[in-house]
Amino acid sequence: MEERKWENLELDCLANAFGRVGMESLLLDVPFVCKSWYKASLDPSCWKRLVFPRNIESDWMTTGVLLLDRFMEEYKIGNCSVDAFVKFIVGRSHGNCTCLLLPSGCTQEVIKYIADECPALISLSLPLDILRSTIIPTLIGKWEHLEDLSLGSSRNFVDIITQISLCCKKFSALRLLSARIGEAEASAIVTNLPNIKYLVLRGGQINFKNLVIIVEGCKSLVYLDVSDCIGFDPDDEKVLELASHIKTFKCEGSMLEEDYYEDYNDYEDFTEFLKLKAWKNTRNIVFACNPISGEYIAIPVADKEKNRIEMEERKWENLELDCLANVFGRVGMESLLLDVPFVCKSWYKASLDPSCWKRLVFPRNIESDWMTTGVLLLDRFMEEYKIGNCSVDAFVKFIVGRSHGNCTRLLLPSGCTEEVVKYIADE
Amino acid sequence: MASSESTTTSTTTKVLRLKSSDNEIFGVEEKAALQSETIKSLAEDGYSEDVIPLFNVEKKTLAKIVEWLNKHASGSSKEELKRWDADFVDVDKDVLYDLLLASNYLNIEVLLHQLAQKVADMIKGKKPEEIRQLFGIKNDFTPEEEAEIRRENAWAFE
Repeated sequence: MEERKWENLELDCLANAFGRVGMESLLLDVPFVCKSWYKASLDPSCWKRLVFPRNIESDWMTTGVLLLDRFMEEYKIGNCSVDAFVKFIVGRSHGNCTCLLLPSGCTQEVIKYIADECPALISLSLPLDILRSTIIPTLIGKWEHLEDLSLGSSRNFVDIITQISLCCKKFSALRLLSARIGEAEASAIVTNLPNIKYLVLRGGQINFKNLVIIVEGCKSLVYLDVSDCIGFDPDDEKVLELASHIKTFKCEGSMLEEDYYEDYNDYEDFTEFLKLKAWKNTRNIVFACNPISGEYIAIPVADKEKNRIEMEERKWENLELDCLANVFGRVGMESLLLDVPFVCKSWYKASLDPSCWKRLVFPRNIESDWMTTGVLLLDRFMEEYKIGNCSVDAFVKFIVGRSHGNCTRLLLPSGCTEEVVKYIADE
Repeated sequence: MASSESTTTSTTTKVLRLKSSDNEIFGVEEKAALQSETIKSLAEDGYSEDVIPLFNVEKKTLAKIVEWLNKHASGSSKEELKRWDADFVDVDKDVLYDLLLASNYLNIEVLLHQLAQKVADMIKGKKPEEIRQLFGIKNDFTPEEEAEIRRENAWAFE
C-alpha cells in the first residue's frame, strides 16, 4: 500500500487545514515541521481568518506566556510592539483577510493600516480601547463587504453605524457588548440598520421602551440576544410577546435596574459580584481590577443610581461614617479619588476615611505614554488636583498613605521603583 | 451500497453511477451525488446516463464518501447529523488523508471543511516535533535553515 506523505499533501488541502489551527500554532509550530509545511504556512489563504487573542502582550499581572512573548522568543526578536506584530500578521494575508478580531493595545495607526490592507473584510471585531479613536467611523467606507461587526464599547457608535448604512450593503450582524443602549442608540440602530438580521446586545443596559423601538423598527431580526442586560424584566409577558416573531430571542439573566442594585448591595464579596454581573461601558463607569482573574472591569454607575445617591444623600449624612466608607471602598480608585470627594462635604470627609482605602487596586497603566489614547488616572489626578508634575512613585505613595496602614489588598501599577515597594513594606 | 444495482422504480429518483479508480461502481441517488461539485459538472457534461469515472478515488475511499453523501441527503436532523459526522471523521490517519484528498478532488465543500477541521484540531497546540511524530513527517530542515527562517522575520521589527 502506498505510503501517505502528509508533507506532500496538496497545497490547498494543507492550507485549508492550516487556516483552522489558530494563530499561535500557524505562526510558531506548523512552519517548523518541515519545508513543505513551512511553505504552505506562508500561503495567504491560511491567513484569511485572523483571530488574535484579546491580550497578546504580557504585563506584570500576566501569569501565562502570551502570544507576543512566544513570538519574540521563537523568532529571536528583541522588542516588538503590539502594532508591529499585528501589522506583520495582517501582512501575511496579502489583502485576503476576511475575518479579523483585533487584540487590545493597538494604536489607530494599525486600524488605518487594516483599512487599507484588508478591503475584503467580512467580519470585524474591535476591542474597547481602539474604539476611543474617533478615526474609526471614517474608515468604515473602506470595508464595503462588511457583514458582521463586534464592538467592545459604544464609543462613536452612532457615527460608526451611520457609515455602515451608507457603505456596507450586505451588513447583517451587529454585536455591541456591555454597552448602554439609550434612546439615541436604539433609534440609530433602527434608522441605520432597519434590515439587520442578527443583533447581540448582551450585558448591556437597555430598558423596555428602547427594546420596543428596536424590535418594532428592525423587522428582519431573526436573532436577538439581550441576555444579562439591565433595564427590563425578562419574565414580563410584554417582553415575550414583543419578541414572539423573532426566531431566536435570548434574554436570560436580564433584570430590572432596581433588582440589579439590590443584588449589588447583597454582595458581601465584591469580586464575586464583579464576576457574576454584567458591566457596561458608558460614561458612568468606574474601572476596577478583579484581583482573581486580573481582568479590568468597568462597573456601571447608572444615571439613575447617581440620582438616587444624591437624592437620598441627606439621610445618608446621618448614617455612620463606616456605612459610607463601606460603599466608597467599592467604587474604585478613580471615582474615590476624583469624583466622590467632590459630591458634598460629608462625602469628602468620608472619602478620606482610611477604611475606604483598604483595597487599593491601581489600573495597570496609570501614566500615559506615546501609545496611550485615553486619559489615564495619573493625568486626571494631576489635572483635577492642579498638580504640575507627579511621578508614579509619588502618586502611589500618596494613595497608599491614605490607607493609614489599613490596606489589606494592593495591586501595584507598572512604573514604580523599589523605593515604593520599601515604603509599602513599612506602611 | 456497492455495485451497480439500479433498484429504483420511481421515475423521480435518478441514480448516478460512480466508478472508482479500481473499477468498482457505486450507484448513488442524484440528489446525494450532486453535493459534489465535481460530479455535478461531470453530470452536466453528459456523463449522467453513463458511468461517471472518478480516477482519483479508490473504492475503499469512495465507499466512505458515498456513505457520507447518502447520509447528508437523507433529511436527518441537525443534531443527528452532527453526531454522525463526528463519528465519521473519527478514523485513522491514513483514512483521513485519503478522505481529505478525495473530498478536495470531488469538491464536497461541507465534508472538506469537516475533515480539514479534524486535521487542524490534531495540529493545534502541538510542538513541531510532536506534529512530525503524529503524521510521520521527516524533519528536512537543517538547524541553519531553521535559524534562517526565524531570522527572516526578525528584521521586520528592528
